[in-house]
Amino acid sequence: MTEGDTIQQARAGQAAAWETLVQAHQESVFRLAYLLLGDAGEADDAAQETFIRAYRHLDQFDVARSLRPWLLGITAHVARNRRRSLGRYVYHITRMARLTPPAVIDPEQETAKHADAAALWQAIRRLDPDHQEIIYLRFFLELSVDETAETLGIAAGTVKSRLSRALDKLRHVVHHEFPMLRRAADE
Amino acid sequence: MSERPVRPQAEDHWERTVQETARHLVYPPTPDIASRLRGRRVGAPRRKWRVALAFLLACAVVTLTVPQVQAFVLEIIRIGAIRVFLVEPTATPTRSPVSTRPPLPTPVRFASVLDMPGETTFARAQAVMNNRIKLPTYPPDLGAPDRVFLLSQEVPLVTLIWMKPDDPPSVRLSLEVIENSIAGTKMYPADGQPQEVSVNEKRALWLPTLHELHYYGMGEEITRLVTTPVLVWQAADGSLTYRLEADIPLEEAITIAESQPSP
Repeated sequence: MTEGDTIQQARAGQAAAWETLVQAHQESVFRLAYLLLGDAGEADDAAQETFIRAYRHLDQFDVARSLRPWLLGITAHVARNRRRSLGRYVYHITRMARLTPPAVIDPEQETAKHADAAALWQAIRRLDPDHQEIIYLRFFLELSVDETAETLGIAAGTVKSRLSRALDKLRHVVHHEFPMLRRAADE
Repeated sequence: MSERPVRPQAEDHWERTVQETARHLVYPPTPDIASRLRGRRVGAPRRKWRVALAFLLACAVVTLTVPQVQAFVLEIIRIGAIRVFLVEPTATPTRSPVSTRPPLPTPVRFASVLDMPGETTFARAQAVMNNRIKLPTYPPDLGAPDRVFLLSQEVPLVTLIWMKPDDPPSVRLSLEVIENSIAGTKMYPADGQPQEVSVNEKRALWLPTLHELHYYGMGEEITRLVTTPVLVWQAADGSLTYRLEADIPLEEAITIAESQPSP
């Protein structure tokens, strides 16, 4: 059975079909929300909201396409709204209150590579939201250029040019603020 | 320190480095979202024609019943974070344009309180409100809310919703909890004066008639036509404003309001 068949069943009201689709995509959706919001609790809420919105608009989805970019597009939109609606004040206060800064890593997993990845994430978070999104989609979720274009609703050529600018800015941030990653950026 | 000029090969190397490094990021465990959604009433997928019909109906009702831009404000009543604008329709405005309803931006219209953005859990809403949300203890069978929304600007605005047990798609009552330090909600009654009442011996407002509700200050303005009666009151310590929306008589609304412990 194809994903399109499962979507048709979900549209017809079969709860099990929809649950299958949620299970298949919940990790990608949650991870993108986590990368964009920087907090597991916020990401959990955003992921749930994404699937609720997606279900309510399932009739508008073209089953000939892949569901993942569509869901990730909704996730990015929900995360943007959450960041905006929470506002800087509440966003920072609630994040501080939870005492779960994103850079904290489980000591058992604190290898050099994990620490580099956490530092890279912190560097990316200094970029504009558009640049963050495109780097997360291409390199963290490993979407193809075409899937990234579909997710963001832009042309493939725009993905390439935006990604190139994002990487340039990231290199600049790393060079000036993240000495542990500087060698990689300067090579 | 100056940066080295970037060569095409270096660009490729940097891209590969970012991709390779990104693979090692440690994520929190993915929650079982499928099971969490299983118990929630998310409603059926929308049919486009139904959405269009609902929108047209809402526009028609608003056009027929709610004073539009020509209306000007006769009085503003403020209860905590909520402002009630009493407006008078007129074909030719003769007073200051300052008194007209908010002109821009075009608000996003929701047909139902269930369409609100920012759905979350009660625990999350409590965390953001520093555990100051106190649930009414009347009616005795009320229990915890079925759905929770967190709509926020500078500070939070929480909507708690209880569904009708014998008719789950229908809302039994909704209770909005708003920080008093903001003024993010406006109400425009279509006709008639809100009734001044008392909750815990403090001034409160009862709006039994149709009115338009606006949330603003979040980047986009949200509006909804409210057809059920509404009671607005403040917490005893004056820190929060409550807005109860339910198809019930005034006496019962006050009983619900007064059953709520202080924050």
